[in-house]
Amino acid sequence: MAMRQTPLTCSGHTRPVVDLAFSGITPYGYFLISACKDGKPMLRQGDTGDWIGTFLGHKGAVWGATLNKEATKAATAAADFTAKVWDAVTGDEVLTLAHKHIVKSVNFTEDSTCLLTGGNDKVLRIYDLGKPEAEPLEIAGHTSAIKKALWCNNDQQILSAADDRTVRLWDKNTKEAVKTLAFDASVSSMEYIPDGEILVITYGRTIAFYNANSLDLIKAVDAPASIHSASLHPEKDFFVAGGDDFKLYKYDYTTKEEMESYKGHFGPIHCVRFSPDGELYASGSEDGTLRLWQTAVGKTYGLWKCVLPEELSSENSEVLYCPPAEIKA
Amino acid sequence: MESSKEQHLFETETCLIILNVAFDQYNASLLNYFFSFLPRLMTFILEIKRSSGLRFRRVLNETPVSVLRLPRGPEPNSRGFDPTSPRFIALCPTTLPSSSSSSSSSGSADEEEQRLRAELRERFLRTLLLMTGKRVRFDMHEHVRVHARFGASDIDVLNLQVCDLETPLGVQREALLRSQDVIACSFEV
Repeated sequence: MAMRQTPLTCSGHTRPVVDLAFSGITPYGYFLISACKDGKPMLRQGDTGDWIGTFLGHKGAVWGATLNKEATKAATAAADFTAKVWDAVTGDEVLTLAHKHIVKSVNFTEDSTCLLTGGNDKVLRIYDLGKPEAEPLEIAGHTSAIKKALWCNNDQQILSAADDRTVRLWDKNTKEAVKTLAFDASVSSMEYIPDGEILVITYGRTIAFYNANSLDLIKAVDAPASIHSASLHPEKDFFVAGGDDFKLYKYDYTTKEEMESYKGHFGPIHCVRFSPDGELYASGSEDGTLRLWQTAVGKTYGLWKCVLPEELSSENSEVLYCPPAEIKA
Repeated sequence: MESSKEQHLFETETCLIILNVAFDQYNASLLNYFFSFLPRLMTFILEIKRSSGLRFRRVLNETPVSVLRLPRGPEPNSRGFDPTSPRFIALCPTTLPSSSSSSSSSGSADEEEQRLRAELRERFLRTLLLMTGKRVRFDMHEHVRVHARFGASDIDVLNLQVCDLETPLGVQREALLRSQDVIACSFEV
């Protein structure tokens, strides 16, 4: 029998959710951090969406948020010209890194010793978290505000996307741009998959996949509407994308065909990410909510439960919450 | 709106079937009689439908996936990070030194720091207690300075409850001030 997707809505934010990131898989499960324009990034349990805590301290909209692999540290980038590092276990603020303009992106290295920041001041900065008072390493070159900055190639190189419609690959040691990609439209999002060295870039209505070392195009897919963010499944079977038409699209990565589309959000989707185990993906929207969607619809996982038809009418049904009928796109 | 459309479709389908049967079995002259009979036929069909509890099923017979519960939302009065959670207990370093701590020098420095922290915390809490009911001057961001009668703060000192808050718009009988907006507060002891 066909099953209809039931997204799990995580409420709590009062303004648009602009960024989200998953941690790696830890002995306590995996976690999700959401950046919101209300200035209060939240940490949630990744598989259920349960709220764990809110990081309080920023005085402006939080534009970027990230977790380290073990989910022990969190970093956020905000419009109050600071990037902050937090203890993700206690929720305490550990470090405040002052910048000269709005900070848009933060990224930890694999060993969580260095933090990369990028923002409207067009400069990439690398902070050594062991020596926070020391001056950061600066890499300049972009001619416009930096939207996203990521470590790649074993933390030896840096990928940055900016409003100057370019994506640049930098070498950390020489601080020089190794390669540059130019686009017709502003790049809306970037995701790096270390296993396979794939870079997912969205611009306009296109979702493009590049080799992260050579910046060669692997494939590109066009969507029905302007896309703000896309994410590739860890097993590279499919990818999901969301944008201006409030819908989430699911595509087959090999055939580039659109498999499904889901309605649910009440505003443009700003960010989409797959969980580290690939069982679900989270989307953050202008409507202030995060929604968790199943990759395999109907599977028992997290809060979703596979129910056989006989069980629905039995006395056990009051334990299960039957969601109200939602419109399928 | 969806269900009335379905209902309409069902009724139209049923009528079409009956009309087709009527046309096959009788000649054209009887059709006039049949059309005048139509409104009563429609009502009759509706009665049967209602009494037999027929439900028009969706063409796409999909069941939504069931969920055990909805994700838990944030607590209104706390910033979270439950100290009793297994992750917190396992990963959070204890600030209080254990009796079998590593070196004595670092142990005593920790103890001293903890003692000072406890003292400062106690002073802060006693100040809050002393402030209740008194007229306090709050210095806030953007050179805002207001006077109010202090009531209480919440457990995490995120919000301060005050009465008779004097603002340029008038005196607010009851108000809640965000602690993060307050830079300093002073009052007469």
